[in-house]
Amino acid sequence: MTSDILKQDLERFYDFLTSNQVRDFVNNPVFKEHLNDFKEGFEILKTNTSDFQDISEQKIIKIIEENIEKINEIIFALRMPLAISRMNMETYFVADMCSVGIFSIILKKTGNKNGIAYDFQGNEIKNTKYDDLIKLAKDNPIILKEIIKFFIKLDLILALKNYQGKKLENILEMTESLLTYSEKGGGAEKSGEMAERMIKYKLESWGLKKEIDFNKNDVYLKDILLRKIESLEKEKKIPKQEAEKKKEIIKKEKDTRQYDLIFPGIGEPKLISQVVFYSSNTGSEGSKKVSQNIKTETFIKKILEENEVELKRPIVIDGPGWIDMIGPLQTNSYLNENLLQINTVDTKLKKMLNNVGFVYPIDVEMGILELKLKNKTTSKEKVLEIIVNKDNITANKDEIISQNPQFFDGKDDEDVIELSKDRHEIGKKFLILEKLQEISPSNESQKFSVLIPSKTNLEISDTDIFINKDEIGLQDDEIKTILKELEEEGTIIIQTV
Amino acid sequence: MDHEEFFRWITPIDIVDNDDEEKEIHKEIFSEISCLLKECPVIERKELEQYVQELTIMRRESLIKLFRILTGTAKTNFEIFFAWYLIKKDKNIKLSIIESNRDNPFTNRLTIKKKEYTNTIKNFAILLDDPHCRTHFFNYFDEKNLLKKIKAIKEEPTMGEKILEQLIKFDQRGAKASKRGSAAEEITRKKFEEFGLERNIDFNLTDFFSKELIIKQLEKSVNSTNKIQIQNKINKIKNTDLDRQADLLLFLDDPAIIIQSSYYNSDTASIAAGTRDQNQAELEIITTANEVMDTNKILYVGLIDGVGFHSIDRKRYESLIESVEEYFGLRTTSTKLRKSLHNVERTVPIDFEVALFLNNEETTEEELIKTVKKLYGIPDEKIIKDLKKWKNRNKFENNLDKIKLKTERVDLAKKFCVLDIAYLLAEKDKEGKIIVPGSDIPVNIDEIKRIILEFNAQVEIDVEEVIKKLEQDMEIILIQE
Repeated sequence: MTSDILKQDLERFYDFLTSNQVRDFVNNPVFKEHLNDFKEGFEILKTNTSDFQDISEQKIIKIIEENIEKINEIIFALRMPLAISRMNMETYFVADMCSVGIFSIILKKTGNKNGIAYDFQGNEIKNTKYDDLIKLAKDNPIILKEIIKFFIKLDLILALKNYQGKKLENILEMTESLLTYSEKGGGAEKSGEMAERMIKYKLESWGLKKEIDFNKNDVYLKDILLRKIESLEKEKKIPKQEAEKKKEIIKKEKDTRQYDLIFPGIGEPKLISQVVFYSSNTGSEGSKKVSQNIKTETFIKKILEENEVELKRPIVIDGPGWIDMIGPLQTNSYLNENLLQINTVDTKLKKMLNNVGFVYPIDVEMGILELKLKNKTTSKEKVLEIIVNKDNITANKDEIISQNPQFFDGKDDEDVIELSKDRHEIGKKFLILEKLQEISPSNESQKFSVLIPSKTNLEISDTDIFINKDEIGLQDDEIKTILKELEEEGTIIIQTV
Repeated sequence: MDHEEFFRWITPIDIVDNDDEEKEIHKEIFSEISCLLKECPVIERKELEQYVQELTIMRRESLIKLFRILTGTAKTNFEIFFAWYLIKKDKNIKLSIIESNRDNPFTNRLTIKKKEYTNTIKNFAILLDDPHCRTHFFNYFDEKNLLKKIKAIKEEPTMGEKILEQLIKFDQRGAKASKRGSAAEEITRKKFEEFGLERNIDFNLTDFFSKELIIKQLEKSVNSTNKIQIQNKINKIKNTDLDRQADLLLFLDDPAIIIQSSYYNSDTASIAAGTRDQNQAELEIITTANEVMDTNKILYVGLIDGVGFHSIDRKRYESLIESVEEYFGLRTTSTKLRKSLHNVERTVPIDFEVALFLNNEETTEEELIKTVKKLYGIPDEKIIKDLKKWKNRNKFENNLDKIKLKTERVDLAKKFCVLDIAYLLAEKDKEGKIIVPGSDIPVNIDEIKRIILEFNAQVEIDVEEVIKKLEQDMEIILIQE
């Protein structure tokens, strides 16, 4: 990659970086729930201790026992003023329990797998996540006592006495900041999940179905490859004996890497992707991904050999953390045509999926709409004709029909295919997006230019757009409104001249 | 792997103790808030904007620290999100890509009025001179209810200060976490010094590229019969993508062990998996090199420890441990790591010092070699070679034809003597009370005393006291009555 191209790719990457709404944990409903939990727990403690005057280890235990259904809320209110996060409980508290001999590590065998669990009074505790610990404390006075002891060691009594006579609104104001820090880890994890959800939401807006057109949960690379080999074997692209050998190798592989997006969700995987969303600087994580990527790529190529081209593997990279991590972004060779961002899902990812043979409801809807806008009949034959002739579509007519039976089943060539009313707006949006990608930039901008992610990012002028408006089939105002909408959602960038 | 054993020896405490640093931050933040409350009797936006303008850059940096801590914003997050906020809110502020003179061709900068700024607190403090940036700055913190929080402290100063203290603790956690890895390495280095090793002579102080080291080892191994074979391996290794730096190396003059550290105090999610992949790639190269080397083989060892493993997905830590040839933790450096060294037929001065101690602190070279062999099972020729090396480095006192333990090393030799006997020689006994690494069956204190006597040692040793010290150092576990 030449220096100029690398620079341009970096600029475009940051242009289309998702806005910080994904990371804004404070506005997340979970944050509000936590704050309410604190408030509830705090009120119980305040009421039962005469505004924190009558405080002792025994008293706190008694309050929890008498309000056992609210144990989660009370423990929450106790750990906040001590700066104890959920993770602190899962690590230091559990380690503390092991060191005082209340928990002892036991070896656990499930089938051929070894794991660990904790022995507590002859009972096996398999999970020690925060919620499990709270549940345990709810059912067992010894654990409850130990949690309170753990807090007392960290000066709980003094922290609670400090609340004496203070206004609730002031306490809540300051607790909000404690909560932001305390749940930061959870918030970062949630932002990764939220990024995936945003992508899947976009996919559903194309008319895709979860679990059929794409996966619901993350899938192990091993399982993806097994599915691929089975399909290649069925299609007789690899002989049975060889397929069996490959399956054995896959089963023996210890790698536990999972993929976030798999197309389709069932049957032969054709495109898989991982979402690398960093909400902050993750330190060495960026460089660790290099080894992981090399290893995964080597394994996929080893298994699929010449068929590896039949499994596309773009990567979604996004999140404000990359502002601070421009180094790994360059060293990891991420900036190639396989790079996707949340804001390029509707353009680049869709094109990639069309290229590997998928035709989705939105493609059919765009075909119908295009005919309608040109006042042409939307017969089955015409709709199929218009779809099959598009540059990015590789499926033939039969494949289009079989992938979209809801439009074509039981219809003759002359039968009219209708577009449901609630799909007009989205159809128009995608039609404009598609047409914009087809325009070759040739004219100077008058008022603005549009930057649109394509295989390479494409910059076209307003003159280009309006010269080609007959191709689009929409009025100027309507085009402008949709462009504005696309800009607001981050799919395109409008630069005023 | 033995999961029970692994978890039994995890270090249960926080190894980063930078209270002094935290005290300094307390001082800075508390003086900043008291100045603010004193200088701004009315806590309103206009007054605060004026207050900021009058401060020096350094004071503004402190004030930014106060504002971000009050609003629960970590330093890195502030640098990233405030920069992003400026770009999104102000069309005149851009993120530009500029050429870099560092490792990568480009870096990014904020461009404001044709001037470029890195996203640092200092630059943000400077930018507060600009009225637009100042407005954005206060808008950013307004969204985080900064004013309400300052008012809460003003109304309830004692409670406010107490909560501010906890906020500082939370804020420092990120900084502490980033130091934990190097703190674990430093603790290990100090242990190496107990072994009698020296910084920059026997082990490294800064990370080094393992690929370069392995190639050097291969080059050293060339002889008339393996020249082509070795060159092929070198070419193969040169073509790999491995650019990893290793944390610790024993020894600098004659490498034997590469140590990669993974010290986690919380669930690091996919980081453990990333490290595992890096380890596997590195181990593969080491294994390839070891295949053609007769004398310069490298052992690939992991320093794997930290309470974080209690919450890390089991598959992840299991495969992390399997990605190295052997592993140890901070509590098992003196036992497991030393045993790894002995297994590759290497010694450290403390091995000889323990042997000297058992020979009444002074003995002949011949007797010393015999005792070292009896204790650690290393071949004679290797012991002789290493003894020469340590003697040349004045690790012992020479007394005519005898070798003598240095007085200042007697206590350490005593400690290691009891530990080594318990770990390496003592028969396990269900009635015993001392758990040492490698087994869940304890050792009986009488067995340790018996073995000491078997060596004919007439030295004074209060085994009970040494055991107590070893327990304090967390190198053994005592079963409580």
